[in-house]
Amino acid sequence: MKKNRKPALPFFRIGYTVSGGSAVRLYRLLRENRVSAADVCEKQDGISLTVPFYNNRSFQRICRKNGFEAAKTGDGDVVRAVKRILKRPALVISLLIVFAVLLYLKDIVMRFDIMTEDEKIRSDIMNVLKEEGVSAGSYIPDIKFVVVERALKQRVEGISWAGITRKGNSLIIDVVENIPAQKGSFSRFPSNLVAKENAVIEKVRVQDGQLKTVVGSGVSKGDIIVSGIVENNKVTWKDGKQNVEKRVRYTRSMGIIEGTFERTLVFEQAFDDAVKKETGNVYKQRYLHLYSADIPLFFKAKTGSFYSDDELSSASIAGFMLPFGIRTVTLKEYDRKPVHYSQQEAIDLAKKKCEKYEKNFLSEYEIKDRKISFTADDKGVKMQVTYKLYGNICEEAAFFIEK
Amino acid sequence: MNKTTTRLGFAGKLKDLASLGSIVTVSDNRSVLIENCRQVCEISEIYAKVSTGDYYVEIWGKDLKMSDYTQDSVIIKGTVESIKLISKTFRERREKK
Repeated sequence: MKKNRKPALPFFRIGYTVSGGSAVRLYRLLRENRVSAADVCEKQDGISLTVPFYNNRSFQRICRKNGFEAAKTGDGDVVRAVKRILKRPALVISLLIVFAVLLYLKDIVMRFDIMTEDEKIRSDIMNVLKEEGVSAGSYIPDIKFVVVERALKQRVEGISWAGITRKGNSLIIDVVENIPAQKGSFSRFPSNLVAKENAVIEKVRVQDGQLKTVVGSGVSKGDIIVSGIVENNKVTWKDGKQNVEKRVRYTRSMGIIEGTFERTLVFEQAFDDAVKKETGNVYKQRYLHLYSADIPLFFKAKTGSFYSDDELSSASIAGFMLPFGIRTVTLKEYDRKPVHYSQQEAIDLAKKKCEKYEKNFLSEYEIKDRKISFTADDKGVKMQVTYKLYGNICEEAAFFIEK
Repeated sequence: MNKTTTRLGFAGKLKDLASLGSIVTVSDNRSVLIENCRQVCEISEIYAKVSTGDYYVEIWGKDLKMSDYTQDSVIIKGTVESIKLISKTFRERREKK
């Protein structure tokens, strides 16, 4: 069944039917009082008209003073909508919050456009920006662009100029990259193989250069083992005389010189130490993740020492992750607590340090032997380890040819 | 051959110069704008009568409504069927008869 609806009134107007007086007089009064009446039409029950909501009071006053009876027939769409909305405070509050958020987001950094294709420069710029307190979610009016630009110019390697421009809520970072200088190639320089340890040579494999020592001999750190200066003497006889012609060739020494050497290290572990221990306090901080920006959804960031773990939850459509979601950062608070170790515990910890050292720094050598001795005083334990190592003892050292 | 000319007296010329004459603008049959109007005498759904300086403007039509009556002008909107000008001076009315 079709509903017989009244035609809608224009947006900001209120409809009235006026009776109880001369129409001509009413028109005159409206004009004198500058009431912008519209849709005026005399009907059987009175004069029907609409007045804008800002003229509503004056219109009612005119009617009251001059004996007209004004009966309201309806509100304009907007007036009606506003009245309806005002009855729902939650809706009004949410609208106000939305407006406030929009106003706030207008001045929040959402993304960075860095005008370079060099990934290293890009990551350096992002690091410097972070150090200067500029990251996604920063309040743009608080950013001192001149200071940040100066920091970029000073601290980012590979650029000679940087400029920051704001475009909406993105920051565009223009950079002028350094023109790379022609790199000199050292591969054609003559070089020696020099001992990097005090060692006894056990095995020699020389591909180029002149060996200056023999297998079984001892060398000191810094000694030239394979020289890049190859000298040859050409001996000729002329008229019963010996002529020695000295020939010098410069080359890049190549080879592997293996030998045995000793290295002594001391690992210490104090009885009284401080270690990181979790306090048991766990905090969660949430961010609104929009593209590359993380907008904090809290007012005050936690201060202290924390282990952090973050998790991004965003919806996906047909396997395609949407570029927005909620990032939850879980912060586990820790503080440094004093710990006292017994002598055995200190020895065990020193042994662990020793194992770590071997794993990280001695993996290229063969450990032939290790002599371990422990000494303890009132402060802690010292573990002295003397390694007998076997491996490459040489390193390349380039030199210039004197003219 | 009869030639009808509009003769303006001194007062008429002065009124013209001072732009005191009323101007009636008709837009299709949808609206009539009357400038320099003195008073709206009547407005109903089929008939509107507006008083200007020397004439009454009578408009006949359907769904007529008046809007914008704050200045010295008025707009009559609706479906306009006819517009008639009635002189206010007795002499002109008598001559017409």
